[in-house]
Amino acid sequence: MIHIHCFLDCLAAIIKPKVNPNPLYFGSWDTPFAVTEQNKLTYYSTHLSSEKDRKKFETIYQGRVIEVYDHEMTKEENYEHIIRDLALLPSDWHMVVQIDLFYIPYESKTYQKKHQPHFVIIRDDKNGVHVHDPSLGFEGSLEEQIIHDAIAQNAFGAAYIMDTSDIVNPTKDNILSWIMPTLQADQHSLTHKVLEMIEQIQHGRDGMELKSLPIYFGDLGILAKWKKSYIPAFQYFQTDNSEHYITKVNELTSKWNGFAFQAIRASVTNNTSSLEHLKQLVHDIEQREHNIKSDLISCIEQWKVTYE
Amino acid sequence: MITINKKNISKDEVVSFITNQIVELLEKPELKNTLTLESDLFAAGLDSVMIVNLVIQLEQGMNIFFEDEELLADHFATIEMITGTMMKKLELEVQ
Repeated sequence: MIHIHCFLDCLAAIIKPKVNPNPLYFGSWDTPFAVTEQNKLTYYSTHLSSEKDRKKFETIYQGRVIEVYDHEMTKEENYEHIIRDLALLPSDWHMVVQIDLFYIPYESKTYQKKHQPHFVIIRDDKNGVHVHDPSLGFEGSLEEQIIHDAIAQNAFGAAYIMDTSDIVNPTKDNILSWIMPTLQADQHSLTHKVLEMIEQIQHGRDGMELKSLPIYFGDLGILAKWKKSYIPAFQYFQTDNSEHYITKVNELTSKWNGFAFQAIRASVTNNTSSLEHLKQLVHDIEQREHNIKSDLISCIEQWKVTYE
Repeated sequence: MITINKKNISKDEVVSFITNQIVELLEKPELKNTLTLESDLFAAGLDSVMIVNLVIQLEQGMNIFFEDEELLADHFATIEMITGTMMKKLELEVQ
């Protein structure tokens, strides 16, 4: 199973023994992002939540996701509630919490280097807290103090309990009602925002400068990874020949990563003329995603006929 | 900055050049004796901005060029991987 989006990866890992998790990723290609006061495109912000994903899970699978993090309480109180709830969880219930990877030793890229919110599945364990991190491929026990710091020192905060006891495989109508609105051909919020930011730099608007491109686009790798959510969709609707489409999706995310590096190169070399090249790259990326959406719509149309 | 004649360069010299550049970018001279060909450079602290700086140093120091498609973080995970890419480029240049 590929890993795309840490919150959804957790939900998928939990439900996989019972149902097909692929529909969980439908629509995540256009997951909302935020822009900070420093003009950084970011995947996490106090203005963003997992509410849409929670609703998707409940709509498609008829499961229940209960938010247990209370933003009115202190982080310390939230941690105590989470640990208390963990000890009382029935076997068909699961806890998904947001941690700060800065405190997590198994991820060397961020441990004691970079603060980064991230979701994992936790459960009670006699040796501390059992952590299952499907996105980063870790499963094992961590000392309670580590989990304490990762939750209580996290600048943001979120925790959910999932009840999977009555989940069902999705119906055709449920699938279609969820996925079709996410496939509007002209919906390219990320490329539009990136183009707008490049033009702001070109025209010196809003204090945006070439040298700050690495900051503006620092999270672009994660935002690009969300585009991989087209892969489980193609695998779901085009079971016989999905490889061709998967290659195109992987090329799309590679193009985004390549763009991010070119943006840094433009900044490091202070090369203003390369901004036009960056815009061309974004136009190319948009066209690629447009084609992928069209292909996916065609696959869904065929699937509808086969399904009937 | 050191410029190396690409026509006479050995793999060991490429490794040494890359290692020196990385140690300098990380501002951790103590790593010079501990980094191996297989060391995880991201765990050592290499980030995407440093990778681009490294690429620029390699391009200028060895008179080669990285294509857009080659600028992916996965290609810069270890000194071994970077050396492999560099040797291919240098061999192509010699032909």
